[in-house]
Amino acid sequence: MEDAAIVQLFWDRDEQALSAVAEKYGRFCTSIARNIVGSTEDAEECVNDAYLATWNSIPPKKPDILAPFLGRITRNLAINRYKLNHADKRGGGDLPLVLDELSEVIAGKEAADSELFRKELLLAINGFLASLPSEKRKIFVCRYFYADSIRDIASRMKMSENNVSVTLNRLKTALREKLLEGGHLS
Amino acid sequence: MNEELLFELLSDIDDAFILEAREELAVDTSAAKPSASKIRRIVIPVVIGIAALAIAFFGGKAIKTALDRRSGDQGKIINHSSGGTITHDVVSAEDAKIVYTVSVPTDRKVEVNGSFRPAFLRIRLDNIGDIPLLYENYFYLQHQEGEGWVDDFTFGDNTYSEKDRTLAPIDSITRHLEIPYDSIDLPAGKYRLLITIRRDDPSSSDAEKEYVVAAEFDYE
Repeated sequence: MEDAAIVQLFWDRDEQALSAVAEKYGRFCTSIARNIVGSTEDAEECVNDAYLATWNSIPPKKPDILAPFLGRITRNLAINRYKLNHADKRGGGDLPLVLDELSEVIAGKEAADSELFRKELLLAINGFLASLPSEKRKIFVCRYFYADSIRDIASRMKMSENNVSVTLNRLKTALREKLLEGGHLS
Repeated sequence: MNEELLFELLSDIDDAFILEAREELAVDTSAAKPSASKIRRIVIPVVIGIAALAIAFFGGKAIKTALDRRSGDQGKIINHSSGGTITHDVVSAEDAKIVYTVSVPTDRKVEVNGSFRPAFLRIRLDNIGDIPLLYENYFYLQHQEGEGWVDDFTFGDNTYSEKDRTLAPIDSITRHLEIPYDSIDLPAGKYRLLITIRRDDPSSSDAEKEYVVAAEFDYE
């Protein structure tokens, strides 16, 4: 079913919208959630919560493309679940490693934490991503948005795991330099 | 800013980048069908729960200083009656008008220490003004003690990115906050939930002005 048709089901408050979105994006959402929370059971709960959150946000939202909309909601819910589980030192998929890698981007530097700063930082990150060749950008997004494992990225991009790791290291360094140049880290 | 916040921020990267990294999304392949029981587990909430008394005010001094990041404008409270069991108070400050209600649905419950209790709070925001508004990701719960209010719990919820937390004029949204019974007790009584709202207009001189609004509700 086309995204426009699914969105229309949400607008019409037709519960078939949930079946439709589960059928089309269930695997997509589950993989995002599982990469972050680690356990299949927790991932399924996150995905169900994402469907409910989508039901509650469309309307008034009317996304043109559902995948990024759903992916974002699922990701954020999974992050919340990770934080809850993390307090008890449970689960986590590849996320602890991903966080460890991201800490290198800001290591030893201070960054402000206001809404305005986050907006500017996001602008800088989007600009950084836009400047990258497509293949490198995909690797970055696979790792730091989707929290894919190095192995999965290597398989997806048809590269060696070592190649993926080296590319990620270079991308982190380049991002850090860009953020320093832009005054986002001091 | 730490690595966790940076990871969270990455939720808001451009849609195109998110799609690009999943080429299979460009092909209309069906995802594995979940079992029917998992679909049924999603309860579409129906408001048959405890009636909510919504009082939304702007600039109240009763709000704790930790929340008090407003620029100082005091708004006017206008009372409306819906004619039913719920009373909506409208916050009006210049062109920012919002109706904010909190209710406690009883159609979805969780087991807590052998008894079943409401699973979440339902929040509804209606932007009935002329300017887009952005609400914060944090909701502050307080309970009434005597004539005053005491802090209970802060709900931090990163489900929605900034763009999804923006309410255009005439927009409305419903949110659900899961009640963390492992962190709070929530005995029966009167509560209020505060949120922070600001104008979503970076070009405005009032862009950083924040407004704290509260909605009271009874929890039984």
